[in-house]
Amino acid sequence: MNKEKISINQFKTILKKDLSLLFRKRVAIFVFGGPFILMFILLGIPSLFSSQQAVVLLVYSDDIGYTGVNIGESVVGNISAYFEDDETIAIEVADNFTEVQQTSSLGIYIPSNFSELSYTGIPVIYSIDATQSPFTSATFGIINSIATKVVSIYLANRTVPNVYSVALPPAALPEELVLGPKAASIAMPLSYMIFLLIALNSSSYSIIGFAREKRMRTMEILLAYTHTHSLLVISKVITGLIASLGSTLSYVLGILVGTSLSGTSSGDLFDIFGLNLNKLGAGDIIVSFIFVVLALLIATLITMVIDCNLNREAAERVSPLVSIGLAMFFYFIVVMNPLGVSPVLMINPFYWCYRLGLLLIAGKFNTEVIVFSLLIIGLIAILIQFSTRGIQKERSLYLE
Amino acid sequence: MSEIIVETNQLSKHFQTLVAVDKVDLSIKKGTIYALLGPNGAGKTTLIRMLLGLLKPTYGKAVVNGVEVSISPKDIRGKIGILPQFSAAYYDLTPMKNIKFILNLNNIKYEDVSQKISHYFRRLEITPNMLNKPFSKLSGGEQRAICFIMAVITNKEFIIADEPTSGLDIARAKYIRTIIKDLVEKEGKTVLLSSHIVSDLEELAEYCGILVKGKLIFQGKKEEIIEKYAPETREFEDAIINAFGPLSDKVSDPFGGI
Repeated sequence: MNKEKISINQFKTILKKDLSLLFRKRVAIFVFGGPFILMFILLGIPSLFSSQQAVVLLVYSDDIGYTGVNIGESVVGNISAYFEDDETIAIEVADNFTEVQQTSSLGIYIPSNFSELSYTGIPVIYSIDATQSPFTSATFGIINSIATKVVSIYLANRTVPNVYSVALPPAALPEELVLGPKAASIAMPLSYMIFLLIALNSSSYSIIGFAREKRMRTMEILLAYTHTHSLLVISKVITGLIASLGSTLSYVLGILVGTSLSGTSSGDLFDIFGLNLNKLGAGDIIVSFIFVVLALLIATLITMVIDCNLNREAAERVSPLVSIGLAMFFYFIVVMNPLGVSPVLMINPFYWCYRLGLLLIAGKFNTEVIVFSLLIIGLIAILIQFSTRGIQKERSLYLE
Repeated sequence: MSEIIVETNQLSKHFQTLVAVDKVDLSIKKGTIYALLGPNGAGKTTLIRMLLGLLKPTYGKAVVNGVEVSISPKDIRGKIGILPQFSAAYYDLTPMKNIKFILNLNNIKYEDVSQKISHYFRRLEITPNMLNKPFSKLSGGEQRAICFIMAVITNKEFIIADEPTSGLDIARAKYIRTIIKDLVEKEGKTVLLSSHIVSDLEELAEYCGILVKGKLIFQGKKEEIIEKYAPETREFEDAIINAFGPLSDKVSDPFGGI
């Protein structure tokens, strides 16, 4: 049998063994069951004890329309239209101002002289914010925008806009002009997924690492019988990726089950990450997942290099910090300017994956794509090489 | 003249200031049992790991089965059967899965050796019940027996067995000695044995090498050791003890000589 065939057979055997070790009862419960149970407890259990209803927004317009026009009515109509499909907020129109004043929820009051005031170009809405939550603030921001829009349409056309005629599209980002709307809509979900998956799985890498082989003293056997030592690393990395993806799926299912119990679920798996299938299409979502997996692969390999080159105790402490540190460094800078090019992030491999993903989704095939592709391929090769050298070092044969 | 399967020339390994193996010239004939003897910390495991290509010598040369392991350690991979000093197996997997893993790793089909395995199971009293338990649930002796089967079933020309009967009951230890003898006498294999158990050495060792503080102080037939180190008592055990030297020479005094 030639060496290549032997190596392939050995790889299959090693991978099968690594998967058997991953799917043993205790580990499987921790890796695959843990995130589900955690999210179910965090989201599902509280909902069993408290009824989650939509936030009620009580609106009352007292606007008389001194000049024969009533802008307040149009504002109320447009607010109702805007939130029509939003299950988290229910718009109710009150009969009088007192009702709005006394509500324990949210209240919006449009005064009698609203039309008059609006002629100055500054709409005034008297609002009662019962919860002071960021969600409420955001809602009031939208309401103010609707009011401004209604007033500006009136000022421009001297006609009160009809209900539904006021739409508030999200503000176009200047970068959209460069990378296009698809990349713009996937930028935040992609960066969030990369950050979340790496943060979620940083602790599970150590389960499949070589530290366990050292503890079981099987390292010597593996090194003595395996022809190509890099296959040992690749097998561990594949197992690590399966663990990570399984763990993430469990996390997502936990959220789905938890939110459906609380009545806030949209029933859409992609919705959890902010991915909109209608806007993006399956192809773009698949591409974004490929780059998330690529970032995970790099995170696993970084952990593997640390695991193979440091002693067990140090490796278990350092590797999650490196992965989470890099992921945080990536996410918190990207979140400030999702589509911009960040020179600081050029040293972060997760940014390479993110940026390359965005460029490909945007349909750009330029020098940047080639550079990032080469960087990623080169880094993966170097990390495999470092890990392989690490397990061949003398220290890998000793427990510590 | 018998063919030489292992030959080292000035083989040395230094760990920083510690000289673990010092200019060892080892020679093992094919089809023999060679016992590598030495007190704890003498450098036996380091020497074995260099022969396996797992440790790079600081200097010197080692040729195993025609492969110069000090230059191309890759070429020796998969050519030596090994039984490490401690039970090395996957504790969460069953003994049968561990055996199949080693067979697959060596490209051996289970069907081709199933009869031999069953034979070993019978003689080493490994019951079907044990085979379905996780390896961690077996007793120390049972684990050792399984590891021994894992080492010999790979059908290698050269086998390194580190403490093969350690922790085994008398019956299993005796049968393991029989298997080792059969491997050499009937199948022409070569065994490098590292052991502290005198009964193993007396029954099995044909040639011996004595390693003290990393140096190979003696190499030759068992009778020659007795002749040199215990001419009065003619006891093999006495010869080994005398060859090792006084205990104070081998173990550093933790109290600084008080």
